[in-house]
Amino acid sequence: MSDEKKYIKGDKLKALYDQTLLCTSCGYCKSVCPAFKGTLWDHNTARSKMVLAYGLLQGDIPVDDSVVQSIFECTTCGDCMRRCPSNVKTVDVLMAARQELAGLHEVPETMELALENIEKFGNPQGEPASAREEFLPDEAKAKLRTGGDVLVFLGCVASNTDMKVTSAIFKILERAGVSYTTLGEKEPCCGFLNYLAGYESDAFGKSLLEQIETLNPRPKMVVTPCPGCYRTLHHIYPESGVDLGLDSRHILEFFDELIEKGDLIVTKKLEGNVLYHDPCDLGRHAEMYDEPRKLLSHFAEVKEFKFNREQSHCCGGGGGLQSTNYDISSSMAKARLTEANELEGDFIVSACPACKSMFSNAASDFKKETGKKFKVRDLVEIVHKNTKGRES
Amino acid sequence: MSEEMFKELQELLGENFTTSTAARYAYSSDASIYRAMPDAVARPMNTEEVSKIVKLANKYKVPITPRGAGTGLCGAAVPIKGGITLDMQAMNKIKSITPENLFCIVEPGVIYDHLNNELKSAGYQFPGSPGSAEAANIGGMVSLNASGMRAIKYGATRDYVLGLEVVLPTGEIMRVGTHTLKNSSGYQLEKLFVGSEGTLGIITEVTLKIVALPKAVAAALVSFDKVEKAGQAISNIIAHPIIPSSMEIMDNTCITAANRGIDAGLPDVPAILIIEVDGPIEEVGREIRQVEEVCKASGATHIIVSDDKAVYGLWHEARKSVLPALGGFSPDLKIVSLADDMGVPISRVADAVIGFKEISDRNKVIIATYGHASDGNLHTKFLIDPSKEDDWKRAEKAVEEIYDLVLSLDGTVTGEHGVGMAKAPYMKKERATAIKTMKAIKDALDPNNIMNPGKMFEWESDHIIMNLRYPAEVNFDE
Ligand SMILES: Cc1cc2nc3c(=O)[nH]c(=O)nc-3n(C[C@H](O)[C@H](O)[C@H](O)COP(=O)(O)OP(=O)(O)OC[C@H]3O[C@@H](n4cnc5c(N)ncnc54)[C@H](O)[C@@H]3O)c2cc1C
Ligand code: SF4
Ligand code: SF4
Repeated sequence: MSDEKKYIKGDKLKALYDQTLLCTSCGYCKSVCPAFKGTLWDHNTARSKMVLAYGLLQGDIPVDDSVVQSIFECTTCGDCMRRCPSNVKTVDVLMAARQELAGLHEVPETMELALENIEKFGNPQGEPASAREEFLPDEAKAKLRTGGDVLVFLGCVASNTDMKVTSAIFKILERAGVSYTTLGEKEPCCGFLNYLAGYESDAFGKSLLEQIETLNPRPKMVVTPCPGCYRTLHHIYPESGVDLGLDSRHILEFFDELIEKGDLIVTKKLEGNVLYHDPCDLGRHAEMYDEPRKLLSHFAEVKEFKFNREQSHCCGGGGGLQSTNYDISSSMAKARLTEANELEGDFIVSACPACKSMFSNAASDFKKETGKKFKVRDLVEIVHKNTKGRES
Repeated sequence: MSEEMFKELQELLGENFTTSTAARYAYSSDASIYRAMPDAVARPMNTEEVSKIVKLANKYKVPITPRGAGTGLCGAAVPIKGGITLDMQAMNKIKSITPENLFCIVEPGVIYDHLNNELKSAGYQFPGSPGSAEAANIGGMVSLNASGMRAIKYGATRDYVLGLEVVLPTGEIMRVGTHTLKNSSGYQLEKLFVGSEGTLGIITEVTLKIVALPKAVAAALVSFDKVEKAGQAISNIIAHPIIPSSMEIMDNTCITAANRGIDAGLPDVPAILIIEVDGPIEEVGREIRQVEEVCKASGATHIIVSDDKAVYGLWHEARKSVLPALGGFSPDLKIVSLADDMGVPISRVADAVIGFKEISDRNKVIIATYGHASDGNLHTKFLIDPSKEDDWKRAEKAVEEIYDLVLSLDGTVTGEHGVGMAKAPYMKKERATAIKTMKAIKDALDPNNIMNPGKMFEWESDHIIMNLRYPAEVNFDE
């Protein structure tokens, strides 16, 4: 960053100025904030983000690397907002602060790399677009961009990092006889990371819409295994004026429907203690708590973490923190596994490729350190392994 | 801070020393009305590091302000003279819990609730119960002599401090008190550090007495159509005699705020008492019935009794939520921490509450009153537009009147939150005959006046509204 001091414009934060004054600095949010627990620095707490937002708005402080880092040292898990007794819209404030920073092209360097990848390759991982279809099962390859009732939007994380989940999705859909299609290399990034970095994501929505318009027959529904994509498609695009013209759902809702209709038949139950972990983007941000539990209950008696549903602890993978501070984010995953261990959990099931990846990494460390082995699974994998179609 | 000192601190602490904008601004305020930026934030990991930092500060005559969780309400952790803020939160080990000795030994950065979670498994507790329990640190609690709603039965933090390790302002490490429940071996210096607000040294270890958890608890939620009647009920209960484990009063402003803030479902009446009794099962049953009878006889309009934790836990949660929830009371007004914890003799609680209401009306400031009625410790919170100079001026006038009233009722300007800056001029009035001795102690221990300077009796102004963390310039000289 150059020596010249930069100050925010204030156009994004101004509307939330009142929220920064509403914060009494009571510190309750410190007790839940994983960014604070992970670092024990006050400038990483939700409370301090309110203080910093106020300081930025008042022009008390310039934007420098330390401010950028504090505003981004956060998984946007939203637990502060749940805990806040003054109902301060903490996440709105910190997202507006990120937007102000983005207005000055200030994002943490590590996140910048992911954003550059999105611009160049269409995904944060920097994989070529063709990688999105390389590992698809043959049945899915045959349905690429053909049109169908249901559009499967895999999302970058699942497409590029979790072949098990992607392949399971299509196997399930085939098994249930669903008319589906998927975009493969034409699937754009949803832009959620850009949103998290404070940038607009509507351009990504528009590219998706363009792709949808090429499909014949036009799908009636888009389903995704990723809570971040789900939030973007379901909430963020409509808020920014992009109407995809179809129903957007998390894939777990759709799978549950297939079971209820009898298109999928449960073949066996899981053995052992099965804990469900609420992903922040699906839980606190989208308030989808009952649906995943209902789906999982077809396969197991669902055990709860001590902190579950609204109070669920973050896996550490949210808010882009994984790229900005891997140490804190992985310590969060480990803390969640410690909770699971106390409950003698065998399976840790989530409905988010990012949660699965965080927990899988943490689980291998956990095994080395304690000998305890967790089975970390996405709900999709549970459905895949334990159902059959009507005819079979 | 000189370049030399900066370098030495950086060498000593590495990543645990920062002068970054974000840290300095985040550490410039606590839960009080004040803001002042430190020049640097240092985070020691052990007593030796604390000692080295203090030696450097003493050598270069740079102020040090210790800080726990920063939940203090009087500005005690705001570095009004700049210098180094010493963040003690990373010294957060529970060193030992020995129920057989009736004490535990902890580092100062241990969070109150974390300690009690650990103690619980041994059937014990440190029963301070501040409203800020989930965040406040033991070091901060000792330094402010914090307490909470159970003080009537269980006392304040000072009653639990058996021993301390302290780094003196010269950097010397001193042990005061003992690892025994009693001692008569010389000056009780550990008590001197209780309530010293970081002005005499840095607490690096605390030996705390612990007490057994009660076998049973029951509580009553009691409604009154007049504050006076609630006050009468309080006196009648104590005079009966019943010593409840807590007895909290909330006025209608607080009730409304809690209902809006956390959907507490409290009755919409002029005043409520939340009364808790604890002890052996049979005794609790008998006492809560007695509480009910006394309240009825004192004019209560409605009483709910429960021994279900889910039910009375919500009442406590509602009471705990008052301070922050008042923030959402009205869209234009914000809650500011002023005149936040006066203590009066228990029999004068009603006089105080009624007096506060008159002061509120006279000065046209919304003042919400709640507090630990059973030990006479009352909290008020002010709702003002913090961007308006006039609101601050009217608020300060009301504050002055409140403290005058409290002192006329033979009370104290602070029962548990401490003095810092917010109560400094009034504390000087209250303790007029003791100030000289306090200064002499401070001079003897801290000859270079590096420890949290400018606060308490060192506060120079008659006013308290300055260095605000709010968007208003308040000028008293016009
Ligand atoms: C919502 C809310 C509710 C509250 N309810 C109560 C209540 O019921 N009862 C009550 O008593 N208080 C209450 N408080 C006030 C406050 O939480 C307590 O006073 C608490 O003890 C402060 O602890 P802290 O760790 O935040 O200290 P800080 O605010 O960080 O510091 C307080 C003082 O202690 C000094 N200090 C901190 N650590 C050390 C150390 N290791 N060595 C030397 N000095 C040190 C600081 O310099 C400062 O002077 C409440 C506050 C809030 C925001
Ligand atoms: S969203 Fe989560 S990580 Fe971010 S400040 Fe709030 S509690 Fe902390
Ligand atoms: S809980 Fe709410 S009011 Fe309290 S410090 Fe956090 S954001 Fe501010």
